[in-house]
Amino acid sequence: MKNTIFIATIIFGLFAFAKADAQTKKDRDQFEVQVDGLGCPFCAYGLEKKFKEFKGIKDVKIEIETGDFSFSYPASKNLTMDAVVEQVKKAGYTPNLATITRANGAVETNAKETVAIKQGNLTNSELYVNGKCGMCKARIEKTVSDLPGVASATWDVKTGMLTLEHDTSLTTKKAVANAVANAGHDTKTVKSDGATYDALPACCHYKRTK
Amino acid sequence: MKKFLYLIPIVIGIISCEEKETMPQEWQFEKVVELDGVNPIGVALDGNDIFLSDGDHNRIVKVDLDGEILFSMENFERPMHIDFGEADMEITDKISTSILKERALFIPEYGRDSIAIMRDNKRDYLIINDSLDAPAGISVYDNEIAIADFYNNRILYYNGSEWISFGKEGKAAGDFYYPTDVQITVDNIFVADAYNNRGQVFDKTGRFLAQFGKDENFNAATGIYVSDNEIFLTDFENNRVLVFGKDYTVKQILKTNIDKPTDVIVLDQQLLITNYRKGELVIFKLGDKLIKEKSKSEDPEHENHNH
Repeated sequence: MKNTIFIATIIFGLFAFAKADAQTKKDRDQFEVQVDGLGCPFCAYGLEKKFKEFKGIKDVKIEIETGDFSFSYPASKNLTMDAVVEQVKKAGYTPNLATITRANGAVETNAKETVAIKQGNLTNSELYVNGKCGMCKARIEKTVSDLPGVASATWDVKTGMLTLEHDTSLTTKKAVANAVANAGHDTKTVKSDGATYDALPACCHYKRTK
Repeated sequence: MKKFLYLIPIVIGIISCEEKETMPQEWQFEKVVELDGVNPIGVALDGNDIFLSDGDHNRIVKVDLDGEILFSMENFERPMHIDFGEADMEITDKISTSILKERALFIPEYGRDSIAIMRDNKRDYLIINDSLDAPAGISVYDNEIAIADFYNNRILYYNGSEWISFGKEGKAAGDFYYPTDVQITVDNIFVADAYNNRGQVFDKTGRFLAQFGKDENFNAATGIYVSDNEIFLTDFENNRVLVFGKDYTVKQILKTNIDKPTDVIVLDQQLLITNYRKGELVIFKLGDKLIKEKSKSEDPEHENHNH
């Protein structure tokens, strides 16, 4: 009899724990973001640390090797995909695929439909972009790849040369220069504004030319 | 005449002995030790035992020179540049406080803004009446402690009786732009001023004395080690370790098999360098420079800068 009561108590306890856990999960949205450019541990850990300081955020976890970044946030605050991507960018990471699993089970992603680019319209261009590390590389390449009509973009850390294949009727070199400047990286023709440059992680603070 | 003949070998012997003593030495690549699943950031020695902080996996591991993990201590929050030492410091296990009176491993936890102290399997935390923001490196020397306080851009230094703080964000001499490592010596405090791409030297009142490496095109000077005769500074993004003399001139640039180095330390006649991304220890040994001169053109280590 004693054993039965003991076992029943344990089962009841486990049930109550599972219910409480489910309740907690039910109140929170789960976020998973694939981020690029975590080459410098000092910056990557620092950004993780800074993220933990946001009010209401919990379960912040980043796998440095894979770039899998996840956290949970109160469902009542209805954090949008755009706000998440913007916040991740603001923290210095370069976000790729992001998935939100809402507390009610709905799933949202930022995956974009790829628009076919006509190969015959592509031009090869080169552009000097200032930067200095692996995190810069991820940011520059992602910024340029996201522009319409860009088929590929590769930035060389040592030379600072960005090589791209693009449809010039959709994105000009000037537009590329503007986009990377908006992301914090100077070119010979367009400079990033001071606040954007200052917001880059420490390891990305390249030497600016006047 | 006979006496003269006796003297010749003696004189030759003396000359050759003297030559051997003055023969310059340099660091020569020895081997790469692969570490299974460890991304080392800091290295510290307890006698001949090698301890590594594995920041990516939130642990400290003890390894041998074959790379085998002998044991692991888990659940740190991004442990960084570690050090062994014995300092009479106030510590807490979060319930009670006590005075540390034995040799221990000091572990800056970057993600927890704390300094963990491990001896045997007991974990305590250093009591500091000041708030850290991402401590990235620590040095313990007798009763002195220095902490590289990354986001506060300063060094917090305990001189045996009181804590002082020096440095601020900036690029001028004495300023810091994210210090990542520190070492106390008998007279000075050496700092790896990571994103100012240089090393800096201070006296024990925090007065700036010197900087070095400014003209060597560093890209993230992340780890520093000071031996009796040399200063070693890691160049993280350029995959190099620069060896400076005590006059702050470059003596040697090490490159062979170095990839994203974060820390460096000397064990006997061996130099141990942590390759963060690849998870390796690269080992160099001291050897006679003259032997290497013959193969100078083939060896990338022979970029000696006798400025």
